[in-house]
Amino acid sequence: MSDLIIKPSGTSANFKVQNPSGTDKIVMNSSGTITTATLGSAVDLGLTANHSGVKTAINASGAAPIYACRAWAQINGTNNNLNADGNISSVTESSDLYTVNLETALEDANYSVNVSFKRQSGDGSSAGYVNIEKSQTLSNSSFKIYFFNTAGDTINPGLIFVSVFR
Amino acid sequence: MEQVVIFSDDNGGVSILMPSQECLKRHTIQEIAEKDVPSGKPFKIVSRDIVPSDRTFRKAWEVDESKLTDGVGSPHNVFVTDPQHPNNQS
Repeated sequence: MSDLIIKPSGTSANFKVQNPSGTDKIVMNSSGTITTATLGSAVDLGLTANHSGVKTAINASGAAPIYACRAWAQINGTNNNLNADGNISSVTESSDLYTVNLETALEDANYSVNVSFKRQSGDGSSAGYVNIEKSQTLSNSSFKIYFFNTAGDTINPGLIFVSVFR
Repeated sequence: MEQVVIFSDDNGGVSILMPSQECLKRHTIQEIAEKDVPSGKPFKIVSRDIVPSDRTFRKAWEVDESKLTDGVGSPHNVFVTDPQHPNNQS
């Protein structure tokens, strides 16, 4: 039994696989680098979340593992507008209580929510704190948040920032 | 025309649901409302223009529930296309 060897005719020539119309579909240069190819979704690259290639690609240096943000949003709290978001289906405001709904649910409710908000320039009453609403049972598809000023009154921040990790 | 969803909250007030523009690329506002409005609550899809921008008396807003005729919140808080929807569980 012997290996099947396919080689270009010249030392600097490329190895090519073309479709019937002559379009290059796979190209490997003389250095052995594949310069043209399309990987199907079924191709297993053998990557894991903490693969060095993955970490390098997202500037995650060091040995610590990486965990992804599963949903995020920037919300205008005064008109409920979602300025930008990822994996959010909607935001509901009910008497200053905000419910953030996820487009695709998480595997369970054991996630971490980070919420902050912007203080309005010249408006001391816009400074305060945020709480995850006490009465709710955490759900894997939504969570509720209240914002308070330092006097303990509920407020509607101009900008709300949300991220969810799991 | 931008649309929002309104429904009444448990205290007789009015809840305003704003759909994500990103999510609207994949789901209709009707689907989002059915998923995100609390289970069993009737809702109405309206133009955003009819929601007052003046929030001075926001907590006093009321809605005529007989006008909330576009649908009812589903008991499932996931889209039917979500793997976690009961229809997709084996």
